[in-house]
Amino acid sequence: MSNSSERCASYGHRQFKSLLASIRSDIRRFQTKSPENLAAPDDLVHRASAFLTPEILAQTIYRIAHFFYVRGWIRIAALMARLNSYTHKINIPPQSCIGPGLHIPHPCGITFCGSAGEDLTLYSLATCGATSDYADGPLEQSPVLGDRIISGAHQAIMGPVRIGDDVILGVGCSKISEDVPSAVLVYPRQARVFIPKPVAIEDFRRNLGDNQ
Amino acid sequence: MAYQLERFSWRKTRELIRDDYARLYSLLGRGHSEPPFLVWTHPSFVSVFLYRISNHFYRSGHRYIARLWWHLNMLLTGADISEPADISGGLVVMVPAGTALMGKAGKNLTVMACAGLGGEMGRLDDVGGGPGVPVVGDDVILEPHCGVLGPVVVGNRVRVCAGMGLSVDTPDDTYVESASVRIIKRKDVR
Repeated sequence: MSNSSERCASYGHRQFKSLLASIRSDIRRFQTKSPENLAAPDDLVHRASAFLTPEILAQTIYRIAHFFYVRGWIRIAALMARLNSYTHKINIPPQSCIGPGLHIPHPCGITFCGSAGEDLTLYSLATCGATSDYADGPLEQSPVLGDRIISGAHQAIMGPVRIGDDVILGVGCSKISEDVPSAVLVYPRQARVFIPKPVAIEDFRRNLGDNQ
Repeated sequence: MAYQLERFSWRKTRELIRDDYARLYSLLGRGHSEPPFLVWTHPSFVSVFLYRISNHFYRSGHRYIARLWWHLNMLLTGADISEPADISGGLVVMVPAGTALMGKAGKNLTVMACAGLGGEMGRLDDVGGGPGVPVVGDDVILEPHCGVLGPVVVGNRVRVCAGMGLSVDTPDDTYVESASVRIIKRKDVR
């Protein structure tokens, strides 16, 4: 696992050809994400249909913004990231470096600031970024993710931590602020179920009814 | 009956907006070599600005106009910051989409992605911010996916950990920590 600038150079994010290849790999990942998509033929119509989903459009705008950022056109990149945050409600600052094969099934509310390798999956409302001392934080203060990371819904990775390859971050992992080794599952502690006494339920209902 | 708030002049509202802008500017500039660019277009500032306008109209008694500004905020940024919320200057909502705020809060409140302040089912006491909503002190940080819920009083300089649902009173200078995670070795990957 390398740092973000080396990773960006290794993916060739400065090259326009690499930008197209990244978008193509995102579409390919979308086409293989479910048995229904796999069953569909890989023709121009289905590729265009995949391209017009909010997922791929949001990713494409991010890819173009990152391309401009790496080329030094930082202001255009920032404007494109703003466009993404208003249209798709997804917050990926242009300095974030993400490898090919990105998959974001539900873009609204996603926050990603950091660097990640190939085949990153961010489920709904996953959050990854610097601590609260920074807004749209610098990459030195942001997480570095390896390849093939699956980040479950509602999980938060915060601060300059390193996550290894082939890691699954389970649903609702409250906060990951320490390094995680490769090939592991990270899950939150099991929820506890309390069975309330009937009296407590009656009190609750009475309280609710009185105040309504 | 609607909750009554002190009436503000436009001057006071402008001061609050200026505080919000200055705080966001300092946070955006930290750690970057270049000064922040077009801060007034940042979703955080837009959501807080629209909330301030809606709150101003609410305080003036124009509830329907306030509601329209709240709607505009919802459509444009995705932030649900209720117009009766009484929040002091320096508010930063880092990622407005999915954020819901209602209650009373002090200066320099930092709200990270999908965090919120608000009511809880069944408890509708008034602790100073309105029926069933919390009162939060100065310099409070709400980390991603956490919530301060119900009529509770949270002190100054409190940081609520990501993923927490805080529904008890909290003293000053506290870090509300959540349960740690379990790490299990994957057998399907070598």
